[in-house]
Amino acid sequence: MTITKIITNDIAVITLQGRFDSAAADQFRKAVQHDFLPAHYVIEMEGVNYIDSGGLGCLVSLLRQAQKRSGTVKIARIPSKIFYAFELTRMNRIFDMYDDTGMAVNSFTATN
Amino acid sequence: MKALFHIQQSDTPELKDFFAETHPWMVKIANKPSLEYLLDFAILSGCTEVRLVMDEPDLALRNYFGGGERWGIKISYASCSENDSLDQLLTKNTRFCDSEPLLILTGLFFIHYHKDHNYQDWQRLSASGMMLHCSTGTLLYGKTGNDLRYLSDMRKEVDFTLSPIRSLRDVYDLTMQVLTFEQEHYVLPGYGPEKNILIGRNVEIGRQVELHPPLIIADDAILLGKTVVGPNAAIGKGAIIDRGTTISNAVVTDHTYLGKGLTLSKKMVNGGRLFSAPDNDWLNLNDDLFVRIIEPQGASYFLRSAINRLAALLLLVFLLPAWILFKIATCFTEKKNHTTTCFKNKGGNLFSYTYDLPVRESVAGRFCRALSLNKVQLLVKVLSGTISLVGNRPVPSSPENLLLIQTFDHYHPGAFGYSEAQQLTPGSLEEETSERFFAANRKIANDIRTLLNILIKNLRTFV
Amino acid sequence: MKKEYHKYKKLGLIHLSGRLDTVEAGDLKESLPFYLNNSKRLLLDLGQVSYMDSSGLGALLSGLKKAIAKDGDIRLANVRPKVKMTLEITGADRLFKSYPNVAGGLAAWSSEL
Repeated sequence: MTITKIITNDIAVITLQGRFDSAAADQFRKAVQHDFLPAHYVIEMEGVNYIDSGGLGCLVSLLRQAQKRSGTVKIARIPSKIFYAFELTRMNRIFDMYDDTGMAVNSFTATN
Repeated sequence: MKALFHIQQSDTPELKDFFAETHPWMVKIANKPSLEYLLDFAILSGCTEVRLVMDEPDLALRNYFGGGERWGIKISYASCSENDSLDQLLTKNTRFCDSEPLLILTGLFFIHYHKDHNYQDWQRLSASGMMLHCSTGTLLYGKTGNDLRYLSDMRKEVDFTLSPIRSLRDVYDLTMQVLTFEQEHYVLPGYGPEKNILIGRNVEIGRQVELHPPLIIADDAILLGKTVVGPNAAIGKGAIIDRGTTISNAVVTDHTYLGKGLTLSKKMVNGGRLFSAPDNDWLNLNDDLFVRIIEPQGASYFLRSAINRLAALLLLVFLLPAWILFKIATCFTEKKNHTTTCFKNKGGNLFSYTYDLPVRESVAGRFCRALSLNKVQLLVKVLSGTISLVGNRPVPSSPENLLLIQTFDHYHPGAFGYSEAQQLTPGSLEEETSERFFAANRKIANDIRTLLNILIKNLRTFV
Repeated sequence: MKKEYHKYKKLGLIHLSGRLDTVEAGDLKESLPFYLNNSKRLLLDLGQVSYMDSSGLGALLSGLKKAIAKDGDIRLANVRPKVKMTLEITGADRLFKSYPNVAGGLAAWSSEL
């Protein structure tokens, strides 16, 4: 999996590409650990072609970490196949989802 | 033009208990899901893409509507949170909403239209940013998504009306109205051997059955001898009507069994539940002789259950000698003897098993866990066909867990649980996610791997 | 299931309460003949009965058969919609005469005798 990070103010936009499975879980965990931790995350998933319970578990853990710092995690540009996995595991209830990354980023500033 | 349909579970509290397993959009009006009428209307109005936005996803809905291929349009799905405003909806679906004129239907309602009329013009002639209300929902139209942020009531006369779907009475009344007066207005499922009679595929009709139009019978329904159906009857998919029963001004939903010699008039039945239109009240009767749900069981079900039992039997043969020796050896040691009651299926049925082995902290307890002897009781349940060999970790019965179970689409408890192999904290969100994921993606290879993982892991705990 | 028996001249009145289901029906089926020995005309107050299934209905029908054999009758009062539905789908609503309330039922039935 390819992971790209852009951090602006306290929002990190993380773009994922490839298979987000148990094998990629460690890579993801390392990528979201910094010296300076942003409050909010937007995970852009357009390029993800597979996700399993390991990948889903990573997102849940990230959300829990962010919530400890009163931040949150939003999902952007999720492909329909991946969205289906979110629905099956009812993760659609815990993540806000946007079909536009910019809008997901703006939504933090709009509410704060 | 595109259309965005939006619904929240909180929109339909009255339908929830009666149609427990059914998404409000899948609740059928004359054997056609309420959503399909809206979809047909959107297509007549020139929409080529439809997005369904809901807070509670539904598997049956997904399977039915899919990507929209059957209707020759593109259907996509998105989720919303409870109480999202129109503004939030537009924001979350910006890309979808911004490029073309947009029709939004929010809430649960019915649109009365006529399939032979022309609906290509009403939007073009009217001003952008207008809406049409009924008490349970709104239809909005804008030339751009942004126009929808400033709305005015629709002034122009249009050739369709909205009617609310809030109560069971509304569902009943609409079905009767469609059957009696508007059968020609919509595309309804089935072929019509006579006017106002619509019959689906693979319907079995017994001897001396009387059919009085208007009526509609869905695929795979079975009418046994001497039943009288109609006038004004809708029989759902796979429903079974037993001998001599009379159905008029009534609705029988999918997979419902209706007993012998009954008279169903001005009523609606769904599984074991019975609604009376004049009384506007319903009852969970669930009686084998009167009304009950028919559990669908395909051929693969029997095959799978046979494999399950065989594998469980093999394991038992291996474990039983050790178990008996162990029982004799430990008959005087301290034991933990308690019965656990767990959910058997999504419907909330229960099963219990007794655990009477030494406490897990003791050496004997650890030994017995290492050999998976603690599974013997559960394996017996697999033999009796109550649970699977590999499946979800059985969820103990409690009021909170009932809510969990009701939204757990593929829940199938097993003697060996998916997340047992992965060492996730019981009760955590990670565990729940993983349980749901594996349940939805069941594969034999996966099951075998899980089983071996657990057996080996247990052995290792002792070494 | 709770039962309370009263006698009003030629009529017996039984207040029933609870659920008339598989668990309770056997008891009612056995006790109805005793009440019928005391008075062959029984008015059953179902105001407190919230549920009736096939076995509950079976108990009532077997009672009705015995009452008719003695030239008596079993009638119902205060039937709630949830119980009425079971009576309606089985056509039993045509076998049992029923009254909207107990007082009216007693008065109307007494005047017939």
